[in-house]
Amino acid sequence: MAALLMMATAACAPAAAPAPSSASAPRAEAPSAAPSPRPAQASTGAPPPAAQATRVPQPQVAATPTRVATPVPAVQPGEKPVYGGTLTIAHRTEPATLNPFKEPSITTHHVTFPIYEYVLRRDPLDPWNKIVPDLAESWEVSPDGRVYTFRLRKNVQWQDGKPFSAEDVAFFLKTKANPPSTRIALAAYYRSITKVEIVDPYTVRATLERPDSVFLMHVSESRQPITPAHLMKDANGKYTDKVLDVRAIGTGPFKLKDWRHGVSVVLEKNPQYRIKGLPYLDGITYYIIPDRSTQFAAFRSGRVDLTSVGGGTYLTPPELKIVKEQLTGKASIYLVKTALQYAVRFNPALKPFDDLRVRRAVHLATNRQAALDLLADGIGVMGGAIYPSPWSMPQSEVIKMPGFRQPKDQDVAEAKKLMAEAGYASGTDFILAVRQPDQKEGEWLQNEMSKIGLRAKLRVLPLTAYYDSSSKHEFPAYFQLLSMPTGHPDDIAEYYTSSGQVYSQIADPKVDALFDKVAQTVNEADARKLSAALDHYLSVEQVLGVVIAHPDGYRAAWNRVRNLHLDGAGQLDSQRYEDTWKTGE
Amino acid sequence: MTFPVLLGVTLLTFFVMRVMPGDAATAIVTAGGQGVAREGDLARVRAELGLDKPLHVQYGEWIWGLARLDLGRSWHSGRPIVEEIKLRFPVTFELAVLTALTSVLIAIPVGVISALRRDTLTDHVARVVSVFGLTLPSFWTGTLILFFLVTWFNWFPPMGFVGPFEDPVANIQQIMWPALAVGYYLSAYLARMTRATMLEVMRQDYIRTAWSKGLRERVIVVRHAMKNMLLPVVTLAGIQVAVALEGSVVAESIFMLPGMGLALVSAIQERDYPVIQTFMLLLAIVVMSVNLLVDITYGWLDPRIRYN
Repeated sequence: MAALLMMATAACAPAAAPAPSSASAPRAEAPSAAPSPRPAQASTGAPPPAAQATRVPQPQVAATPTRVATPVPAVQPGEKPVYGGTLTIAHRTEPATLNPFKEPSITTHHVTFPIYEYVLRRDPLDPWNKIVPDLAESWEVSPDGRVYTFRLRKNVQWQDGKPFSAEDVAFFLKTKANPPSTRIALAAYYRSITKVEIVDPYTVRATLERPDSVFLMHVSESRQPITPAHLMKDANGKYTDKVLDVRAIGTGPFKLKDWRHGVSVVLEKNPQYRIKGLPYLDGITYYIIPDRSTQFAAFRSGRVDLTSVGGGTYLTPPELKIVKEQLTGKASIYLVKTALQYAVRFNPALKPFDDLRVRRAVHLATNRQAALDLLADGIGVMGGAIYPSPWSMPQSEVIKMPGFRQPKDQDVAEAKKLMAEAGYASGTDFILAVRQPDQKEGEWLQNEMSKIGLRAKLRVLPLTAYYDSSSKHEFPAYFQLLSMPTGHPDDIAEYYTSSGQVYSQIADPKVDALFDKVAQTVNEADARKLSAALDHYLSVEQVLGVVIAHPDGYRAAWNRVRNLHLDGAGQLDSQRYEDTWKTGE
Repeated sequence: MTFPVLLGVTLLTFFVMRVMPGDAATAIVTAGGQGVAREGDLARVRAELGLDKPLHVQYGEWIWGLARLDLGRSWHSGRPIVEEIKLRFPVTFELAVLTALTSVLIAIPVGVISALRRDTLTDHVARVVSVFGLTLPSFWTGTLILFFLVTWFNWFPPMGFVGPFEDPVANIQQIMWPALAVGYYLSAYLARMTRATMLEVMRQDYIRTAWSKGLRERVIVVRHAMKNMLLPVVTLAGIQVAVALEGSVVAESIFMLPGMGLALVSAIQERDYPVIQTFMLLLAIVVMSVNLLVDITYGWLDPRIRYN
């Protein structure tokens, strides 16, 4: 079959520029569109804020021996997509449910990304900078930044045959803005919505209480797919999650075929997908592989095309070495920007962290390069409170700042001086609460802090006990792995602002004011500058927390899988595989 | 005798779980730590799960449910526990049986030959191989098996577990390796026990009589020695099934088997009480059934022991 297709495509003229992919070529031939058909972004009225953004330098990965030299094999010009085949992907944990509306866990979303679509999505080719149309073909923001109007595509069908319309998006926004139950994924993203209107069958308008520079990033966040309103209401029109718990009906390129609990999630091609000629693959199978070494063995034997994404599944340095040296030319490695950070948060209401000098001492003394090398196999970046993104302090400046720069001698000496000034020349003891999974990293920090006299007693707590404790602000310092899904400061607001958030006991009006200002600045370039200033304030001036490392990871794929938009993608970025294909086999 | 033990298991599991810090409500509301727990949310979820009722009421409701064969739903996935069991128990059971079988098939021949060829090279080699199995943890052996299969034969078991009735060939290809890894580990003790018991039995008067009658070694071993030797060995093998059940967690993780072991560990981490309680009870029932089988086997092996 593949051979026939290749002969057929060889007969067709190769496409020059990406044509709009609404060309309805019969399925037996490859479409005349180029391998990455992305419809041109049509916009009416004010250009979307994202388009105005100035390109910021990409975060640098710390130079380490494991940095791989093999170039990722991009699709060559003239290379034709091939229809058919099943993509096999490793997945670490059995998802609890397939309902993406209620479940925020990435375990669920990674297997449902190909099934669902969003109003807007992060550009797979530039996810940290650009937002592109998805189910909405265009959008407008009012000049005051409070009213968002989304114009939706027509002729899109749900996988059960019903038509997609503004009704679905309106229901989505309304339900998330006023959640009827606790089990709704990330409803906090929509807390500032005051009104949702259906302007016409394909136009939805949302009004916010105040401008919010993170709103579009929240709407396009990968865990916000649009789910069918007609399957989320019971006979009385009330919200129910019962149907989507067991059925997955989206608008995306793949449908759910089978979910074998504990074994695999099997997806098959959606022949009614809105982009004609896509997807190329016949199906995707996610195999549940809990053990890391087993995952690599399965990959190496060729039974699995693509390794998993997520903590504990990234390739270890020996595995990277094997791919680089033994599988050269046959398999490749892709860097995943995890947007994770190991961070200790100080409670400035309790000793010894009520003294800014003590906090600054920790900031100066912590050897972040060593943290990266020891805790992340050297893979990752250093940064402040905000993960290196268009919203953080510029990476090029960060690595030169005291606290971050190498060598550390001057900074450590300064730190000891500050400790003495604060009255802790002979050091002091305190309790550092650590989540159980982060114990190793907590121990590293404990050792690091002891060098300036801060003797931490580790209190290792299981997850639920940890959150209990931090909501009661029991201890002077809490250490955990945090995630920043959008790279925007809103992701960490709950840890640093005083407004009803549970983790911190910080009541610094300047912090609150800065977060507000970033949120409400309509011009994105200005908002990003303010955000960098906020990052500086949190990390360097007030040291409300110290981020010791932003660990990244690598996944591997066989080169027979073509057109994977993985290079530099985030851990949370949705992979839909609509324009991916497999050769050979 | 069985019933009070099972009741004890239910009580122990129930109360031990509730003594542990952290509860399912926090896990659900914070979505495993990806969100923030707000006051009202926790109370609401606790009420949904029935965690706000007094302990003895919660216990009573659970036991009453069991009596009606209503095993409840998982708090984590919302699915009926009966479904989980129907899916996972056969896998764990198949693995436990094959593991026990493998360990016996390795241990008894090794132990017997060791005993008969005592202090010869064969004996020493057998004992070293046996102790090796004891020192190597089964997860390491398992990982090593997969590693060698891939690097030496470029072969990996078929992905996606299938049951023995769906596709027997694929099933064997998937389950023989975990059975081997854990079975090898368990065979060590059993082989030593077999060797020691065999030596003991071979010293008996009736064996000496058999020798002097001129019987061949094979006849003596199989007809006279075996049944006497098997008693302590069978006891140990019975205990080992219980060990095999718990060892299955590691095997299930490495060999991607959708069994009860892994599910139980996740449930414990998430404080999914209904799943933990029910699975523990089921495992207790299995272990007790195995012990019952062992007791019955005694009767068959040794006519002097009779049960009514």
